[in-house]
Amino acid sequence: MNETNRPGAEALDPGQALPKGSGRLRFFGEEFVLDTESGLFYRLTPAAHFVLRAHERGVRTQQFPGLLRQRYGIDPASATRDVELLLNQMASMGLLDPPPQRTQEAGV
Amino acid sequence: MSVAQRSVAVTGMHRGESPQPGASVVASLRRQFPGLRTVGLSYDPLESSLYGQGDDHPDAAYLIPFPGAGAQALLDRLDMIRRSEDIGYIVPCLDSEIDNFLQIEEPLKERGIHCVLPTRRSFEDRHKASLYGFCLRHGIPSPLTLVAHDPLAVERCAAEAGYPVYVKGWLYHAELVHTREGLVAGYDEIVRAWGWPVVVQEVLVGEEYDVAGVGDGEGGIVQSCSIRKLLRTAHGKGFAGIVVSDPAMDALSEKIIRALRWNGPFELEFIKVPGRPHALMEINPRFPAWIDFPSQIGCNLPALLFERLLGHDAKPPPACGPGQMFVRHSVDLVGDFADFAAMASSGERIFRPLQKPEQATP
Repeated sequence: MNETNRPGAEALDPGQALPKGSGRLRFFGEEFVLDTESGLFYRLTPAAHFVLRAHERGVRTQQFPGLLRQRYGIDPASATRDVELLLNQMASMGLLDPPPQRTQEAGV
Repeated sequence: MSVAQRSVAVTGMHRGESPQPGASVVASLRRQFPGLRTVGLSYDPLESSLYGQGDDHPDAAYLIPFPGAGAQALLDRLDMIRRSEDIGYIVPCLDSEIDNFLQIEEPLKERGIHCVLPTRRSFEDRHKASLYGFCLRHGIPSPLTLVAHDPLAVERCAAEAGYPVYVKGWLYHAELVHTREGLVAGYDEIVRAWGWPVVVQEVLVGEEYDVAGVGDGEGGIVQSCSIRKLLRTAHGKGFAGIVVSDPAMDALSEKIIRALRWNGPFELEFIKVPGRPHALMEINPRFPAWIDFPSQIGCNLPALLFERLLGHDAKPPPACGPGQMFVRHSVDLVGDFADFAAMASSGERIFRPLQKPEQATP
């Protein structure tokens, strides 16, 4: 029997841009999120859950490093880098808007 | 609830390694019409749903000739069965028999037996060998699919599609072939079982999605349910699935059914390659084997079909909510050899005797 929620396959799929608060994502506790459009589900790290939830609430992406700093008490450089990595990964899985739009938004 | 006096006959009653839809259709019908009399039309006394006592168990079962025997043989056998059963409706559940039912649709009508079938044109447009052309004409993404009528043509088609390729039988069976050397082994068994031609298809790798629904024959979808396959068997059959709500796939499904003006049950099979739109792999002219899953969560498509058979203008059931999922569960049914022997020798088994007219099934 083949299980078909392969992380490798997911990571390659840019999918469609996710409008904020679209309700497409369904959270199960702090560990799982289901994309109800693609039927793909993901196990989240606490930081990824924190960021994705904030995104669903409509928090702007440039605010994420500050939120992460507050939550985990990490230095600004690490927070910025971690957020960038997280956002790129989530975008590659189709969970967030693709990077060009984010960059534009961050520059506003 | 309206009253249907006559029984519904259903085919495809085997829930084996490659499960057929009939038993799921029976279970779904029972869910909404508990007293409805159901008749299983079987090709083999070992069809699994003839054993056990679940909701998917028919009230009676009769052997019918294999589809290869032709439409007249099927009609003759149905006439024999009609001496014992008042069949008013038939829901064919196997690809290979739809052609025969299309041929006898009028004679069945004359006998007062109703089926919801696609037109000959729409049935043939979705054939494995015609589907690629249909998709090209209507701008529907699909894998390159070529038809080969002899061994040389298989080689030529495979080279054109580029290895690996799927070699598929006219009706059933698919083999994944990685090299030119593996071609003969790939198509040999298929040709022996199903004959020429075979279909050679480009391989797409991605997530698999199915859409089951009922077409209204005028280009619309009365209702449908879309899933992503969570588990697949070695044969590629879905063994678990989760309901999805994808506007892009819904729009594509509507486009396909509108182009076909499909009447009755259907199953659309898609593959979503990362970064590309859903590609249509197959259209099955029947319900899928998982059709009792949406019925269990409030979207009873076989019941909807039956309402249409009764001529009712029934309101479509609500759509399935995304996130609902199913996992198939295989169980061992108990029987006695006498059950098998009775079916094999007489060609019929009556599990619930037909009631007198005043006790007719609701």
